[in-house]
Amino acid sequence: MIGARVGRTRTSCLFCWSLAFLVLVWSLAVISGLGALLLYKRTPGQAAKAPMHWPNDCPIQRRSNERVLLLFAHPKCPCTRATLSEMERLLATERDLRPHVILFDTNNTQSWGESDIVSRSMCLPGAKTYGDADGRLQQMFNVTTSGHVLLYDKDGRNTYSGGITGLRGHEGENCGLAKLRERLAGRTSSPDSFPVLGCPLGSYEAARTEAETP
Amino acid sequence: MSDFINSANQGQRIRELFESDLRKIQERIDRFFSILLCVEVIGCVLTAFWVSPHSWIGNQRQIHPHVWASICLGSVIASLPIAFAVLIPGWTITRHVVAAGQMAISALLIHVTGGRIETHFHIFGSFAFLAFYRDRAVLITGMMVVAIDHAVRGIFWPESVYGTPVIDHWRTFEHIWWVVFENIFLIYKCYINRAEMQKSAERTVQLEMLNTSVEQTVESRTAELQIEREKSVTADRAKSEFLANMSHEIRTPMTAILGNADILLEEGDISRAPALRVEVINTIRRNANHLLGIINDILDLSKIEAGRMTVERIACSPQEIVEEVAGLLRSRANSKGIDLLCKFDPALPQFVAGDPTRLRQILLNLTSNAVKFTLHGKVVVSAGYRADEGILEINVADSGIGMSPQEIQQLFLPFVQADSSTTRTFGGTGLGLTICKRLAKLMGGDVSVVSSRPGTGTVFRFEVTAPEVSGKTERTEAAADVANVTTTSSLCGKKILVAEDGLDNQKIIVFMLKRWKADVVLVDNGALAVEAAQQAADSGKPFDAILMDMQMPVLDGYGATRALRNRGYQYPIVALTAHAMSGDRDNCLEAGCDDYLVKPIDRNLLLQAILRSASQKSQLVAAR
Repeated sequence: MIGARVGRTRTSCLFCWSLAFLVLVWSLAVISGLGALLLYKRTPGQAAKAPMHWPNDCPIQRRSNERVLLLFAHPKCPCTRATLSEMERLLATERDLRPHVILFDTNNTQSWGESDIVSRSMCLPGAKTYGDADGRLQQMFNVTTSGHVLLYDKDGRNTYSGGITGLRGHEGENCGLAKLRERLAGRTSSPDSFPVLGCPLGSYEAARTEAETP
Repeated sequence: MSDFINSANQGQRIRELFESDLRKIQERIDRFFSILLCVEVIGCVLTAFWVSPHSWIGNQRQIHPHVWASICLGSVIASLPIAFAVLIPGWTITRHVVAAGQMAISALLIHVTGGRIETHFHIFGSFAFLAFYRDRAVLITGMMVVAIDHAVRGIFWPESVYGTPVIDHWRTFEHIWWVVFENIFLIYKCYINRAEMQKSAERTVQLEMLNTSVEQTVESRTAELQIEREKSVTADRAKSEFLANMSHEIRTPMTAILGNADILLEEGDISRAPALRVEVINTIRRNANHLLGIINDILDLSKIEAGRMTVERIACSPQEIVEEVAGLLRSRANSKGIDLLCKFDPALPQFVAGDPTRLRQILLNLTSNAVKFTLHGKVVVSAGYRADEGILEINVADSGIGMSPQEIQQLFLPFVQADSSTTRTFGGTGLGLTICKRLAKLMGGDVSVVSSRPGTGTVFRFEVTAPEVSGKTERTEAAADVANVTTTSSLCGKKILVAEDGLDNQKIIVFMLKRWKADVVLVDNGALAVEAAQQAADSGKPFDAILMDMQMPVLDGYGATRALRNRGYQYPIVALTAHAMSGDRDNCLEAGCDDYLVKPIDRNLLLQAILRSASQKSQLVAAR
């Protein structure tokens, strides 16, 4: 009788410990999974150094004493939606700013023109959009990641180079946006950068080669 | 001490019920969450696929990590809560794992929707769902998950949760506070729900206890009633046996008393006898008849109470019955100096369907009482008929001593007379009116007091349902029988076997039969009766009638009759017995008797029975 009770108690204890162990393993798995997701969202694109001065051969016309804001975007990158949202908020306060949106493009991606990112880009206040069909602008400004923003001041100096979202695809205040605002407000003119969180734009050469392959 | 134990048991039962109900609810919520988590994982995957189906490298695309995270991480998050909800529903750990899983699913959903503030409402909805458990600890677990998540991310990656790169502990507190704010109300709701469940359990236990108490009372009362019923049945049986024995034991000597009194009156020339002797004989006869009346009343009441009294429905003349009763009592009334008058409504039909014997009995009783309790003045019997209802109504009005309302109330109770002094003054058992009322009710009517005032008289009303008919009256039949008796008042040549063990009764019966010139064979037990009857039948000269006493030594009348019938004896046997209880007639007929007469012997009835038997025997002989 007592033996049976002890046996049951042991079995019960073992079962409880098994449950606790399962809960522990599960908790670790969930925390790890959510941590990995957070890590992914915080992983920036490839670092790139933009030209410190406005390139003279740039096809985009820049008047003297004009600040120029460039946004490089991939038409299908979901992370860039958050960048566009931040850009919309920024332009709501910087009404004299006329951004140039350079869209990653190849000749064989006609359907991209219908994406929401393209249409939202075209709707940005005062914005001009360009299809960088030959990748010339991307190469000229040495940009590798969608959502990359470049600011050139009135003297044609690059004062900001980087992203304006804190996490991939996440809207909200972040360091990159704050740095950009400071420079637009003229509180500082020292060059600064911030990691760009978006899809890689890729190499045009590779894209063309792939497109031409039957 | 007993109250304390009951109270402890009640408390224990309330706890059991409360915990049982709570567990059922929590098991149900576990199952609900197992489904909800599945739906949420699917929702996460669909949302991820809708918001960010692919990530891109140039023009190369691949499944977005959000989609993989929704599928893989979502499955991991949901797996353990679902497994626990299915395998160990209702367990505490299940609820807490479900709470943590639900919060993790919220986090995943917020991630895949790009941290949209709207998605954060999923957290608040989840807490509301978790409150269904009615367990505040579960809500605290959920809050702890949210608080730790916000605290850790607020310190290390504030922009991932607050949209700002600045580490601001106040903001962490603010976010946690709003979650706590909601949960304060949810925890209060849990408390209210549990209190309601507690009250419900208390009410259920009270009902259970009440039911148990009622059941115990019912069982107890049923057992008591069963005992009482058994006692009543035993008492009833004892009463019936007593009545049967009393009836038998009184009727047997009464037969001898009345019979001998009759012999004394009829033997020799009574006109030469001294007046005192004749008066003594008449006194003996009158008192014996009175005693017999009392016995008959008791037996009637017993039959009525046992539900064995039946009434006939034959054509009879109400006027004849009234006149007959008046005729019987007129001499007594006249001897007291009072008038006995009869009045008949013109609407009174000539014939109605009823039981003439019982009608006569009731009317005789009422009129007899009226005469008895009237010292001067008159007694009026008036018969009427309500044609529309088919009711015969007879009023008996007297100018007697009358009754008070209190006396009237007790009038129809058995063994009760209006006043005990009445018994002393007028005699009687107090059964007559009770029997009358019950007989009237058996005939679909009633006996009631119409009016009565002390010193001025009483009017009794007797009404029965008696539809008007046309036909021969029982009086006509009776008259025919009497006529038959008077014209054939001799049994000359009739051979009668008398089986009777009582010497006195033997003498009476033999005396009567011999007076009627019958050829009598006397035996004193059933065995001899069987032998004698069989011999007579075998010799081709069967008895015209066998008068069989039913209670005899060696072999009783029942046994003897059955033995004869078993041997094929077909000739008439008349039961002549002092067993006059209800059912005795049936018992005799069942044993094989053709007719049934009770003691003391009514000479007319005896003669009629013998003549019927002789006629029946003649038919049987002729048929052979």
